[in-house]
Amino acid sequence: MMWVSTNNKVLKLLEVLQGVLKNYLDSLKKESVVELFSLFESIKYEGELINDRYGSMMIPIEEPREYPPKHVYDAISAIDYLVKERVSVGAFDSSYFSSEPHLLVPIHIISVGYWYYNYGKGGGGNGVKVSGTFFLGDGIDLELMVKSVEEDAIRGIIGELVEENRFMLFDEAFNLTYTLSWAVEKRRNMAKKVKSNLTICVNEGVIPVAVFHTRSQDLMRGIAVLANRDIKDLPNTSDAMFMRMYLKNVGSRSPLFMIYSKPVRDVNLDLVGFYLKVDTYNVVRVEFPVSFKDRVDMIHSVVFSQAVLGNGFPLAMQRAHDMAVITWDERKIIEEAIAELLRRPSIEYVLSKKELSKRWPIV
Amino acid sequence: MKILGKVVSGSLNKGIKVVLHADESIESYPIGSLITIRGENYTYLGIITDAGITSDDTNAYYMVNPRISNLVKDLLLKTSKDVLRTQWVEIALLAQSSGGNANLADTVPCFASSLVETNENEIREFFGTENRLNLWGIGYPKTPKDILVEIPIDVKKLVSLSFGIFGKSGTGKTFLGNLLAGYIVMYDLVSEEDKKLKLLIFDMHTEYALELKDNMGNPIADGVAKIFKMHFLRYTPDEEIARERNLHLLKLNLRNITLDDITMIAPIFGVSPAFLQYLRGYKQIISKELKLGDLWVIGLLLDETLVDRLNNSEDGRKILDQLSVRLNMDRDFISNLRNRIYERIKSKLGVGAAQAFITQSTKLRRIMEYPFTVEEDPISEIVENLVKKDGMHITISLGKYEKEMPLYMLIANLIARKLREKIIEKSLKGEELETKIIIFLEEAHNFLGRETYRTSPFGDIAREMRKKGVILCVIDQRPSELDPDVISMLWTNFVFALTEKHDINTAVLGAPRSHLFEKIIPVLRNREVFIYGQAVRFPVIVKIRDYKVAEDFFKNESRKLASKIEESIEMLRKQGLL
Amino acid sequence: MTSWDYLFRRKDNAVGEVAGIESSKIEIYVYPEHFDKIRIGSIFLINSDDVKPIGLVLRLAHTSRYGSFTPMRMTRSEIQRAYPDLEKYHMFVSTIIYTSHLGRDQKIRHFRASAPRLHDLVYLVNDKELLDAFFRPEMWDFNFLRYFFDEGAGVLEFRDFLYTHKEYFQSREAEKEEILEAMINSLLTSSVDLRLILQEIGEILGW
Repeated sequence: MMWVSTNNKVLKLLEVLQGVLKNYLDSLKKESVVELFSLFESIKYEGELINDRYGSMMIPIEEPREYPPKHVYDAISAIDYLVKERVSVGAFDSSYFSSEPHLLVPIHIISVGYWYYNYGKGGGGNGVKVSGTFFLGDGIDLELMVKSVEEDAIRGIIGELVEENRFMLFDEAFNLTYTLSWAVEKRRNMAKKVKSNLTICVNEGVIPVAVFHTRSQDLMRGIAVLANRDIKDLPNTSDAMFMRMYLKNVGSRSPLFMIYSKPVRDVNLDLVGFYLKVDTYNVVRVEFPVSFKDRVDMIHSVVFSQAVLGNGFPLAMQRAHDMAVITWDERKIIEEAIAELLRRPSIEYVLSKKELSKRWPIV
Repeated sequence: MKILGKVVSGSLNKGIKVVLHADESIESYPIGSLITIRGENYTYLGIITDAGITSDDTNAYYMVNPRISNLVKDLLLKTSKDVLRTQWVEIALLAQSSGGNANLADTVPCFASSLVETNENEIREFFGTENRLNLWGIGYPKTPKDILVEIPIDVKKLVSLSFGIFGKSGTGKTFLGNLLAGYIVMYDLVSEEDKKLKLLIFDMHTEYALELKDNMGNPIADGVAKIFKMHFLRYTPDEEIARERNLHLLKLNLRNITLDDITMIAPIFGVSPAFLQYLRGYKQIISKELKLGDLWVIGLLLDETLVDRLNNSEDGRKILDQLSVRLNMDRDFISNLRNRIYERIKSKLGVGAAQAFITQSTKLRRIMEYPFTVEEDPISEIVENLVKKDGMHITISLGKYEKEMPLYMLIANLIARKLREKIIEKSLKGEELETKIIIFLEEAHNFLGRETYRTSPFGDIAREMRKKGVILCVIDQRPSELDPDVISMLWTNFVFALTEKHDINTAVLGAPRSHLFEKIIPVLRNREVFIYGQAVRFPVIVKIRDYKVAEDFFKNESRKLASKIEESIEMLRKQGLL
Repeated sequence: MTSWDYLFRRKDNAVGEVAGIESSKIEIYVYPEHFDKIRIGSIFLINSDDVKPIGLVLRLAHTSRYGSFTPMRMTRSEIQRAYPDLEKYHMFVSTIIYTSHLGRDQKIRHFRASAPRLHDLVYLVNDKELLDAFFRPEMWDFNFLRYFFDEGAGVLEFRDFLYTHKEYFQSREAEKEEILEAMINSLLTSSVDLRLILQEIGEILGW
């Protein structure tokens, strides 16, 4: 009996891709983008806004225009700025090894890497906090556990930041809109933990700043609300894409926004933020507690400095990520250690058959 | 025992290659040196025939590169001689010895056999020791380190067969000749052989009869005949020397000159082949028809000038008297003899012969400038001395005539012919010679060359007279011009420096593996001689002993002999026997 | 306390540690702060437990640990201000040729003994007294050069070696003949082109 096989899988993938991409680009007609810019610049926010339409959105609280960088233009000026302003920067990132359903034993190893440097006095460091647990919960439970380990790391770093102006960079969204799909209790717990970590920083005079890439349309939603339009009537674009086109200069930020996010509102965590063009094609979102809104220019300069030094993404966060990440090789080591501790001859005895088939398909 | 090097390759026929120890200096190993190799079973004696250095271009680069300092170059040489270069010598094996028995080498030493210093005992073991009976020291061997033990030659073996002395002018042939002659005299005096030895020395430069001279002509030592003058009759055609130095005057008896003699010397005077062609005819006419008989040579040469000269000497006037009688004419008409001869030749042999006679015969008149006689017969006297047991040794010294080759050849031929006749005469009578005659013949190629060997009386002697007890000492600068037959008769050879390839080949022909020694001959220094053959056990290069030392010894011995003889005479007188 | 003990007394004196061993080649991970001290021809001693291997630096390499390279367009001092921990992402590796060892009797011998272990601390031998002990264990001895050349060093590495220790050799000018003689003796048996080597000696040491 014959065997029928597909030989042109890649071609099919590329063909579909081209179609979808074309459709998307077509939807971004130049005219509609220009109209969106006008709309953005025309909106005004006055008074308290009640947001009952969306789980999250952003409303500008500064004049809607481009805010170019004031002090930082290249790596030299970035360093000069950080040194002159006597800035300390810390960052941390998390990674974990999780048993998943494909490992014989339900264990989880959490690795939080951190990095810090005092630009004025000099001196810095890096390290990793590692913790582990076993449970049969879900990923959300693990995320909550990670937050506890992060708190440990934060406490460790804070003491090392000795300059006049101290910043802690977080590789996460403070707004927690991603938790909208979680169970209420877990969402709330997460929000509390995030707020707790921020509070630790704030209490020590360290400005906590979140820096992350996002596909959100919070700004679009905000524009829709303020312009009293349906978001479907606006060009189908993300905030980052909008800002990529709106902000002409690398290093420019958007106006400061007030962030309306249900998960953090529930724990009374008020946040503000802006979009920052770190690169010709890269825009990141920067969030921090509203209590520091008057420090927006410094936050802009510090984050952009770090982005310049990091070639598009904050250096401190890159370094922290390097410390945190559990590499593929390290995962293998953990698996082999599990096998040895369980006195199994090899990892084949600790992995599920499905996992085994992925790694070593039948040939 | 210090090891100087190691055998690394080679063969009997091509020579043995020895690599010298790194600390040895190649400059200490001259060509021709005697060396010793200790093999597993034998001790070998050899002569160095070649020496050299091998290194690659890299090493030459070190030594000339200006970017390497002299200090580094010196240290490089000091520390790495054995890496930078290899010093080697090539050796012709002469002899091998085991348990005191030495023989010609017919094996080669094994790989890595050691080259060692030759010591005096080994020299003695291989060559023997002077005993002043038959073995007489000829000189010191050439060795890398000086050895003061002499190599002896066996005089008894030397004089048993003909031998040769070859070398360029000024290399020491005459010194050696005198030394050998001296040893032969001494040997003859002390040996108890039946046959006494008699020397006949053709002394071209008067260095045997009087003094040996240096390059400037200054006398430096007495010749052997002068030292042993009691045992020598010294002749010379030079009247002045004969008178002043008390030598016997040797005159040519014109009656004894033959057709062959004229034929032999005529080319030297540039006489044409046509004249020689008619010479027999001339002799016939002059001797028989004109009745000059055995004075035909005078007839051949006579003219007015010669007549005047003859009139001025006693011997000359005697000749003219004899001619007058034979021609039955007045002495005054003898000057017309030439015309008569001319006319007779013209009528008998033709105009051409007559023309040749007139034009060529004058060239031979030089003969009449030599001392001549028609009555005396010194040649016979000489031959008598040679064949008698109690006869004397003879030297014929040319004196002022040393450049007169025709005279030398005439005298030598006359003696040789006479001697041959004497020997044949005795032989026909069934008598043996009482003596053994050794003829020292200088410029021998004039008598024994390819063209003259078959016609010269010396050729006859060389071929026929050996068994009768006559041997030759052939002395020459150009051995390649000697007839090959002559070379093959020479059983001992003394070879001084030669440069012509053919001469070298000929001179060393009889040496074992002669091609190995050819390289050595051109570089021999003065008084260095390569000896091989009967008289020496193995081929060797020696520096001939200082003749002055030998002279003193000979003089001493001569004095002792003289006093012994005087004592004997006195004793006989006392006994009334004298 | 011997001079060698003095060298080892503080582990902070170590300039690196053994990162790999293959036959006679030993890879040394050099601590970034010491990288500038290392030259071709520098002499390293490895503080192993038993005999202590000694070698000459043949190669220096400075690479990115993760294989990537980001152009900076900055001077060294600017880089140091901007990225003070940059060197932690780099690998400073020195390859040494194992030529000699320090025995239990504290004597240097110019032949190989046992191999070091990974992470054994490495010390730089640049003290004059220790260099004396290395170059002249009993008399001047350069047999370590034979291993150096045999394992890949060439004329240029020898040149660098001379420059690295030029001051030391020039301080021993009075003994240059003995030094040269010993050097030549060793070099003759090595695989290197002696012509070029001798030229370098003349050019660099002026001997």
